[in-house]
Amino acid sequence: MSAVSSATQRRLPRELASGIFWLGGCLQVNHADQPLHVSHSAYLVCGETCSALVDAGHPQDVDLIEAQLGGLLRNGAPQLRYLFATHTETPHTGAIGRLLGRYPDSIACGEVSDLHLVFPEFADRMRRLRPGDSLDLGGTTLAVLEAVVRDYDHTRWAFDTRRRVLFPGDGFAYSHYHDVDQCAKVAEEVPELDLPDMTALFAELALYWTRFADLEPYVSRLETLLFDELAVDVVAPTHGLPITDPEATFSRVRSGLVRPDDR
Amino acid sequence: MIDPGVLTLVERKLYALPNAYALDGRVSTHPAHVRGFASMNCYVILERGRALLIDTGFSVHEQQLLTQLRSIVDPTTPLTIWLTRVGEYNSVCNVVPIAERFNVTKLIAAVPEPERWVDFRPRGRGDAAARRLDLFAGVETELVRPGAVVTLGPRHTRQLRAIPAPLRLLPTCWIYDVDTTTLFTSDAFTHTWRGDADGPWLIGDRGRDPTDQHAVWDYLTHSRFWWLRDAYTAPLREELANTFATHPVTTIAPAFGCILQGTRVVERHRMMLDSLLWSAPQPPRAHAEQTIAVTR
Repeated sequence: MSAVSSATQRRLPRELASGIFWLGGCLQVNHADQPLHVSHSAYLVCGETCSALVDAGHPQDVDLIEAQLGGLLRNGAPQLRYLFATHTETPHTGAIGRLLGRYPDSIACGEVSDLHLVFPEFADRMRRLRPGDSLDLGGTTLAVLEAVVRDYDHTRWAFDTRRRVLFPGDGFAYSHYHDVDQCAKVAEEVPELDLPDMTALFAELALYWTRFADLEPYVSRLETLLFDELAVDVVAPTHGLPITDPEATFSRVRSGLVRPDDR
Repeated sequence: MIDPGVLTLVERKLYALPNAYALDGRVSTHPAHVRGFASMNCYVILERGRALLIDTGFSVHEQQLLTQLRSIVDPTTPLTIWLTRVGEYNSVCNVVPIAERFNVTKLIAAVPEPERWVDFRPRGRGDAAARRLDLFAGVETELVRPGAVVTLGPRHTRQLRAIPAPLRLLPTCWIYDVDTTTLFTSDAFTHTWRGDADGPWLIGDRGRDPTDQHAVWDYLTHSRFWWLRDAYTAPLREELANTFATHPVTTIAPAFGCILQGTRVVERHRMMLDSLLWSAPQPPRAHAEQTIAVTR
């Protein structure tokens, strides 16, 4: 079994909005004897003067991310300056050490806890960013936000102000089916995907704390952030398929997070 | 000769390999405002010519860890590595250097194909996937979920039970060593640290236990257990009570922080955690920090 599906390899990188590219691969997980795929995505955000990579893929995809990114940069993407980590779990920063080595003008930034202990050779190229900070990419800004749905407390989300793309890390996480060709497609291209169920399943398996919390305040906060504060056009999560019509799709995510049988 | 950095928990049966790191606001394991030092702990279980290592620590500790490991495990001894949290670097950073120097025969984790999670450190140009295939060819993997029993030794005499982790952040299990009545608690019971990089990294019945209940609550709610501020904790307390009721524990062996050894100290910390969980519920709160509005 190849963990990175051929469909994913064929379709990614994919341009989600002008100058914003979806990279990465899928990891197969088995649940109740069903093979499911979970995206482990990274996104290249291009400005006029430089680029930022948001998250850096799963450790199994180090070669893949390096190749995808190298191709985009060779084809004219501005120089890579920022490796933005939403948080430092291995599936979010797998290639960050390799990329710091390959691109000596880049820095790791965002929620970079522990990385100086993981990659001590690059300890002087790490910068912690706080909500309210921003990265100027030229013609656009990557704004740093507090995370709403998260596991590590100080997880950061990012928002591209020109193309209005939200990068919510572990938010909007849900699996998909490889064998019916859902890999590397956006949510709106797979209307048959049971998004509420897949969202609930991911939360149950990966976000343990959600079993003990009232998620309604979190979902309300998400709603406010998406529609009132940011007017998001595209949601680009690390573990879910990107969402290109948040107005239409958000209600399905909401019903996955707040189930009727919730406490 | 056993390296002086190794802690003997049970002679010829169980050893801790602690390595200190600074609590300087740059680590995920502790609140940003805490200062001092904690130990990142790996554990070696020995049983009749076989060895099992629980977790592999941070890259920055590679050399110390290899020295510690060499002092208690011969490079030819069949060695199993049990990764309790493949999603966290402090569990997986040194799998590759260990596999390059020791007779690693098996990888255990809660995911299939754990070798896909462990090769991320910059090691020169080249095909990481090919290197991985080469290094782990012939290494058995075992997918272990709570409820499973892992055995060690030529006659499977040593039993290690994977049990559900009542308190955790990411997918993990606790491990119970029946022989030594040690409970490996992964990222729970990680709430003690020291002012000095030299430790000591063990709190026993006879020594002074500096742990303060208020500091533990501050630790829990400003680190990975931030969600306890708003959590419905009754199920957590119930599972915690069941775990200790069904497993006699004389040593609590956390992934990081001081090791707790002795029935009195174990009971004290169990009760402290239970008491804090009992008093935990708070009004719902969705924000980690302040709300930041980005103007449209």
